[in-house]
Amino acid sequence: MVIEAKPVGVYIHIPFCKNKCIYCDFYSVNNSDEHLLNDYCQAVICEIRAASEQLHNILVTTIFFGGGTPSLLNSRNIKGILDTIKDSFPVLPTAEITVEANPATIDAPKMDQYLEAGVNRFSVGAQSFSDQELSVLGRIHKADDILRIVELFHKKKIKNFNLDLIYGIPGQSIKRWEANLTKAIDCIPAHISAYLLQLGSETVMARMAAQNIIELCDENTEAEMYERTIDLLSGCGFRHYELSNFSRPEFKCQHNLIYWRGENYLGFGAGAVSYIDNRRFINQPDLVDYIKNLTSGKKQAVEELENMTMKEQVSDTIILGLRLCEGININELNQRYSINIEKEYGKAIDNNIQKGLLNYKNGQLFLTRRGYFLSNEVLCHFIA
Amino acid sequence: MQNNIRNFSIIAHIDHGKSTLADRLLQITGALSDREMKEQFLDKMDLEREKGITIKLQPVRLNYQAKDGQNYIINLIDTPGHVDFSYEVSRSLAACEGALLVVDATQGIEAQTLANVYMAMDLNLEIIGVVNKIDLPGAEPDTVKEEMENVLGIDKNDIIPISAKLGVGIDQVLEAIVNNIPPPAGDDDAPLQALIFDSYFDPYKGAICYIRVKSGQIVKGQMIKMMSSGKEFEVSDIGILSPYMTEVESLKSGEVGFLAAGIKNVIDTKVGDTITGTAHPAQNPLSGYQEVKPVVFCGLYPLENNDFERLREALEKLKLNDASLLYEPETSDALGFGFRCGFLGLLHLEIIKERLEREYNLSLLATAPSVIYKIILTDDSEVLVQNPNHWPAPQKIDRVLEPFVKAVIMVPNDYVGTVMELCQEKRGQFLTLEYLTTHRVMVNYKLPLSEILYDFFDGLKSRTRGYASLDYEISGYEVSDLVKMDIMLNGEIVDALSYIVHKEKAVYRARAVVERLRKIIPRQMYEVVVQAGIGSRIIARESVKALRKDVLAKCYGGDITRKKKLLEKQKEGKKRMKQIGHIEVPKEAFMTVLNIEAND
Ligand SMILES: Nc1nc2c(ncn2[C@@H]2O[C@H](COP(=O)(O)OP(=O)(O)O)[C@@H](O)[C@H]2O)c(=O)[nH]1
Ligand code: SF4
Repeated sequence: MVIEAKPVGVYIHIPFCKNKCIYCDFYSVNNSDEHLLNDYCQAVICEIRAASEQLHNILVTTIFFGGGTPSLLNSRNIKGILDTIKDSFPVLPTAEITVEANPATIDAPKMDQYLEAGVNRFSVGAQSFSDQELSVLGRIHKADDILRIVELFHKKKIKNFNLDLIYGIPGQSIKRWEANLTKAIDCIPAHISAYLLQLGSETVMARMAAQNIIELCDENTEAEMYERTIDLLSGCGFRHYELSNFSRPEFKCQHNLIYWRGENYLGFGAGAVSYIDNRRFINQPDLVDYIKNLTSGKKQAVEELENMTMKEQVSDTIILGLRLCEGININELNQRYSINIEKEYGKAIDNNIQKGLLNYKNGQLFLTRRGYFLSNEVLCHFIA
Repeated sequence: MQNNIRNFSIIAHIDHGKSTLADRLLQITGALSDREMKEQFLDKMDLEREKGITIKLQPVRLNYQAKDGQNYIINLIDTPGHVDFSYEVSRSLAACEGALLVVDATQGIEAQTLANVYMAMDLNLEIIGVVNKIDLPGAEPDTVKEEMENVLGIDKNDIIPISAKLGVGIDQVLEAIVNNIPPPAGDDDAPLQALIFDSYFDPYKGAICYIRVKSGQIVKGQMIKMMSSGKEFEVSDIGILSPYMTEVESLKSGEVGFLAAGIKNVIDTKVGDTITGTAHPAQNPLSGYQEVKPVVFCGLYPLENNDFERLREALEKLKLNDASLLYEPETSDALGFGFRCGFLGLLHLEIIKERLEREYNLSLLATAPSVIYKIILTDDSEVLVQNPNHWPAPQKIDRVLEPFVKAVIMVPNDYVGTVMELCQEKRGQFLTLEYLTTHRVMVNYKLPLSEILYDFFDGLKSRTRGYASLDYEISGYEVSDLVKMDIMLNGEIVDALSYIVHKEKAVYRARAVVERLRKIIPRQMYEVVVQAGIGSRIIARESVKALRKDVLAKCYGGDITRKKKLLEKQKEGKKRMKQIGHIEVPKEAFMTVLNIEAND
């Protein structure tokens, strides 16, 4: 019998940052010690090797180095990991291979080496083109660093790069946000992610706001910024394809699409999450334990986060799929899960269509423009 | 044998240690082995444990060998500790010859203590004073004894200092019970008169009554008659509680126990009713029987419309055990089908609602509680209205009467001013002020019952830092200048939010209610305008601005589980909402909309 290979995205988690940004609640360690990074990458390599013995019939379609700050890694480490993946699993020749990069951590030689190792997409944590805003965020880079790295991209004819931007920064006006967007567009990226600043309650910035040390933007301003973002980017040839993501045609982030389409992914590294056969797992988050376990040949401690029933799978697919502007294809889902979504969720669907938050056309169910910034109002109705 | 029986109750303000003392008595007399000893045996429902108050009474029989060498049967009849159930308290006391009055040595006499002591005195009970918690560092047993002597006329030299917690002084309490409380009088050969002081429903045996035989005796197999209704039954089981149910052949004059007689419904076993034999019936029932009537009404609606039938069944079941609960179907434009229910008071309401939700797994919405208004129409006829939506058109109303209570508030004198201010705000009429000691006073006020229902107690507690205690009894109806206030959401009247208010306070309250609704109605897709009006006149207006942002900007692989949890929470939140037209209103809004004091 022939078994069709299961496409998976591979995520490599690099939980190191030079300096913690005050708005961030990602798990990452303030350390860029060369030895520690080397040990860590060695552990990741061990984990990938071990996994290859367990997992069969898969085909890697994307690879994504995320963090943290993956661009802290030297190219030997990047190459070591990429080579291990290629040795362990079949990898699609056209696979998208992304590294998240802090603009202040990459120079020309490093970029060359990354490219040589196989990286073909960069995602730059630009966040803002104003040094003042960057310092409010506690970022380690300056606006000039962004321009420098972008110049490198152009010099090396790298088209496929993304700029991450943040709006709703304390003190930011709608005008200043538009200025940031314009500067980003001038960089001619293939992709722009524009994120609303949303603070976890444990972040330094959230506490500063609670103590009135800084003032967050109000909701109306934020909503307005979002509207302008869509207008501006759409007017400049970008397609809005996910709540916070915009790209030129053909340059959607293939790796992130895997998440939103509810497809399989493997996460390697401390605290990385995998989703395979309707189950989610998380690796032990503690860095030291992670390294110790894997380099001593022990098995890695994994915790199961979810083992989803059919109903939960459907709900998951809808909730994630509606983040995409194209929405979900009802027939496709009905077939995939042999259910009747219109019947199962009829009330939620009708109700939200009535409220003008959802739309249904040609078999696709999708959020309306008005529905984007209010999407939780819609999505919570589809929770299993 | 009658000479060696003692029947008594414990009266105490909440938290003064009634349950702890009862536990100690059970333990010392060996009614419960230490192993069986579960703290506070007598309070049996979970809800009671949580709220720390007794709702249901359970008598228990103790065997005690006194210092005089004789064996005594001591029946402890527990009493509920809340003003809602004061009639039940009075009937429990009526089953006794004596009462233990427990006062906390760190607190002194409280309003409820006083009310219960007066009740006991009216019934000619022997009162044994006990000062509890003498182990506490702040205890002032001598001052409290002084207070008890001054206010209640109990000789301070006779008051027993104890620590129920540590078991100090319990022997002395038992000796005083035996020596000071008279044995029951009553002739075993006289016609049967047995007082029902409580009843509950057992799915196998039907209604079970707790009874005190006042005269004559009752035997298994005998035919009995309820004197209030004339209904007859055959006794199937009788027994005592020691503390578990133990069957006996007969209960004689002076004894306390339980009885079952194939009675299908607790309505036929009314508290305070007299049981007699059909063969030699007593001439007269025991005195003091009353029909208990609900004084507080509210609508109960299932949040899910199709739970209506389940709610009906649940109410039927609860009613089996609670004759004072009233309910009848009603409909509301805003809420659909539900029931108008009557209760003895707010606590009773709260208990029933919570039991419906917990034991029957219903999600309920309660409308604001209402008292019963008497309305005299222009044609001189009278109507009783306990639902604001049945309020007659203003031009048809000649005058309106509302129920008043006499309230007793005890408070350290530092707080007298603020208490009187509060009473004044609540339309109170000052009656008297008395000093209990040099620094504690008793304030008597006449107040509209409706004002007490909404937020009086919360206000009292917060303004006196919890030092005030309150007790009240209904005193009668008086004319008041009342109007009906409607609440509108986006111009539509929400019938379930209408309420009755005094004209002079209409504006103040309307503003507060509207402001409160603005705060608790979550922002929605569109602006929601909240208005309050009398007839077509708008008195207050607020608006809930439209929701602009409700989004998770980032959602990637590592995050999905956590982000879904947020959505789950949001979904749970939606479940607590009632959709009225296009507007989602939290279900708590209806019940608490008039609680202005508590939510400022
Ligand atoms: N220190 C001390 N605490 C006591 C004593 N008697 C009761 N308590 C505590 O007072 C609180 C209220 O007692 P409880 O018997 O439940 O009061 P009830 O509401 O009158 O039944 C509980 O926390 C008891 O543990 C006592 O003699 N000494
Ligand atoms: S925002 Fe990025 S760079 Fe800053 S602390 Fe978080 S993970 Fe590190």
